[in-house]
Amino acid sequence: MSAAPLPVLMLVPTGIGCAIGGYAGDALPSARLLAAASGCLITHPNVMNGAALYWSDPRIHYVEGYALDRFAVGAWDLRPVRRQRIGLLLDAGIEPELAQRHIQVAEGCRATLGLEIGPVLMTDAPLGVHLEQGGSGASWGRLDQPDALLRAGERLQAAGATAIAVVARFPEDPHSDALAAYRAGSGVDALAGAEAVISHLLVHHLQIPCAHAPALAPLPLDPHLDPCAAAEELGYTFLSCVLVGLSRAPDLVPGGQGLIGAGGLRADQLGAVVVPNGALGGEAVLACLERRVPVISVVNPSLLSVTADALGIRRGVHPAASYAEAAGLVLALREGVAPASLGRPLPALATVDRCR
Amino acid sequence: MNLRRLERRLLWPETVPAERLGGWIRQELRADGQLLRWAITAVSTDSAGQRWLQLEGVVQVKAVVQP
Repeated sequence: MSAAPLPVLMLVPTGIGCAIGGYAGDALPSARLLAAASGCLITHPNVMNGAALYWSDPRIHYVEGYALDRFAVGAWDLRPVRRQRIGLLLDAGIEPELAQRHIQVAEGCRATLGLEIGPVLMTDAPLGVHLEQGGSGASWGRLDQPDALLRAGERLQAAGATAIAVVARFPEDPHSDALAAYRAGSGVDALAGAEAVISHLLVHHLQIPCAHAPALAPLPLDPHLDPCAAAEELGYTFLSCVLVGLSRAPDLVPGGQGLIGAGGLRADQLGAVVVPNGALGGEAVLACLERRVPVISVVNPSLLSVTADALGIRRGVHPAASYAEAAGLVLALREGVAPASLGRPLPALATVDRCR
Repeated sequence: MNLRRLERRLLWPETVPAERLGGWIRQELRADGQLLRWAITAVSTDSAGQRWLQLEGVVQVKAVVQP
């Protein structure tokens, strides 16, 4: 008999060029494995969204990054639901034909997958997305009209939406070196940082599940397209994965107020956090360190080198050479096996001074 | 409301352990606006042995109305 599920947080920060998870939902196989090992995985859209591809697993909880940070610090709890009613928020900067493509994806998800979607709302002004890059090389971004985004979100929520899929028109440069590198399976997803800002803004303002899909014109065929980027070139939109993810995303409720019932999740239930070994400097990981949640630090190269060594962390971090090894460590924690007992040499027993 | 990108380098005091960094950083950045998204993107040590944190983020700030 398996031990009870062990809630595990899986993070692959957006826009830092992770070798696994830095592309089109290419951390999804790792997430599926960790879900099987833990019985309960909490992760974010960047991990789960494969544009036209997605995977639905009742053991995986789809939680936007800002909400994950709030969850990890204990400010918000997660309350599973049978379904969400997903409002579709479209940027007024999207050309009519491209907007129609997105509406047809929503119609398809209603007809073919049985999702509850609607209403649809266009912002009252183009959002004006700008892509930026930080000193580390990580992608970031901002909006000219953040208030237009929030006004539209408020209207959708007032109209009965319990979750929001937002689609913003993103700037394009089909001949850029960055895009060529991304399609070849290297470099950083230049869109990802701005996407995170858009969804963070909505979730912060409305405290309901939200996720973002960029609106872009189709790219010319690249016969050498890397498999890790291929999911983004299967269709006209990146929306279907977002709608599927949001359809059963847990409600976000104020933490510590007993609002989640028996099936809900609180930060103090977390049994581990799994994170790339160079990305230990995010808010959720730091919150887990403070709570003494075991950190499984997986070799997953990225732009960043904020490692356990760099932060001077001596205890509570378990290195893993791969997500397969991380899944083994999660299973050990779930079954109550001390991870240290699985390696050799076995560390010496620690002793403390006798009481005097 | 406006969004502003943040890049800051903070001297990491010896009295703040890694486990307390999250709260300490939020406190240090409070004056910059409401934090929407942030991360430590590098840690370095200078020739005097002082540790520095490189931070990147996005904050919300109130819009300034032009007269």
